[in-house]
Amino acid sequence: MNPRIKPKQVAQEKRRGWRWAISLAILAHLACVILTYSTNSNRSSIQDIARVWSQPYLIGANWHQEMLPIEWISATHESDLAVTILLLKKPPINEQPQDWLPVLIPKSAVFGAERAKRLLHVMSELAAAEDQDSVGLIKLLYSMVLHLESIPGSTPLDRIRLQRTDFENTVLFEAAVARLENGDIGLIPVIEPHRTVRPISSPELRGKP
Amino acid sequence: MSATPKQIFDDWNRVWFTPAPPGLIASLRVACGLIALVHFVGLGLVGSTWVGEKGWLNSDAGLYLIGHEVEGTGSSYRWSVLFSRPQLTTLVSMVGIAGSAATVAGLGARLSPLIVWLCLGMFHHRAPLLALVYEPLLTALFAYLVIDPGRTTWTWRPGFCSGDARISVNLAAQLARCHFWIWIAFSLASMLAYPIWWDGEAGWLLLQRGPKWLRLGDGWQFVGQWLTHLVIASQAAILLFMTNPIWNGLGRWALGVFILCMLLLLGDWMYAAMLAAASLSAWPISFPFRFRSNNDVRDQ
Repeated sequence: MNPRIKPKQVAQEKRRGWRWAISLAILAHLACVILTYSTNSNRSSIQDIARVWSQPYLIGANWHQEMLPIEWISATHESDLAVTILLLKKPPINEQPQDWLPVLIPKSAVFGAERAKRLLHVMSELAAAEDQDSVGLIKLLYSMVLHLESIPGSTPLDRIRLQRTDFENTVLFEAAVARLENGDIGLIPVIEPHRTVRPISSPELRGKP
Repeated sequence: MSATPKQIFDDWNRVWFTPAPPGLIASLRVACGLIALVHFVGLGLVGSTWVGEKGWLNSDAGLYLIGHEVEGTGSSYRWSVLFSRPQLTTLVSMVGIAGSAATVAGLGARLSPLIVWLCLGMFHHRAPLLALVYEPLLTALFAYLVIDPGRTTWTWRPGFCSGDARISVNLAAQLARCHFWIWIAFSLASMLAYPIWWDGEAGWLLLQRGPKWLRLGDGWQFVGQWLTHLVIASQAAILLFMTNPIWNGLGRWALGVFILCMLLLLGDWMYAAMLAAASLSAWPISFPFRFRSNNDVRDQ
């Protein structure tokens, strides 16, 4: 073997090895990006498994973000998304709809109109999903109550409500603010008046824990 | 004529491993840096209102929404310091502003885009549901800029700044270009999955929720239909022209039409700016100065 050629060959081999490694990394990366974007609106169980498998890279390196909001792609009508948060500061004797004050109105949120819309959209979806005991919705509303009460000069809240802004003004969720003895506050969901609960004396429930 | 495996390998090597001058990615770096600057100025003003200690979305609610300690959600891979220390929101925004400004100026080599990418990631991991539509593209492009930001050495001599051709510049530019192509391809594919993007109704519905000054009466539905067809056609044209070296130049016009349509339909200036910036990976613009390559140095 010619000793003068050897270092050049070694360098070439080394470069080829690097190129192989980089090429494989490029292919794997682009496959992950395609996986993320192809699961933007719908996904199969295979894609679900692949997403979970590639989570360390997709989430850890921040490639997991979905590309376009589904309400753009499906061009959902505005009235299907429009919800607002209302709050009641002190409970009046004869409650009127105008006693409820709107907060977090997207148009008023400077530099954050789109974020406000997104948060409200998430809340309306949580309300529609009726997750177990509305934990997610309560956590979000609780966070909002803490924020609103931390604003200097604000008065304590009595109730908070998530409501559609269509012509029917459907109330999606409502919770009362409870003041605890240790100074903390809690949220208690207000059960809608039309919701009925079967009496415990019902034969099928009797004897059950 | 079918390509042999050797030809495929050679083409692959040529596409990815040919040294390229920094000018190929410098315009992308400047544009992304400017968008990130505006983004972090906005976050500096209102970020703590959103994800601060007593923001609209406090850490507890944020952890619930990312599925903390729920199997399969991948929440353990989220690394935002803003969960445990929400009071750092403004500081992270300020660091982001400094990093963005340094990226625009070409200072700090790979460190400045890396800082911006980390700051973007902290906000994304903290509240992924509040991320705006341009943010995934911005984060991705900053990750590629970390590979090579197209750093140049600025000189006082007018018309010149220096920079050697490097493989890393080409790698970063090609990855950004592929990412942008994939973005447009899946945007188009997602839209075509809904019948309203075929019958022209999508444009009309989006116009109704877009800028108020564009909300037209019922007799103007044809405007919505035209915009719908233009959005679809322009995206298809962008994809086609990006991959065709002969018609490549026409892609800028298709992109202009697409951005204009999206602006009319959605009124989202930042998304429009992000699309324009991302397109610089495919169609870089020349600065008033030109980049001095190794060949220039040898010629002198």
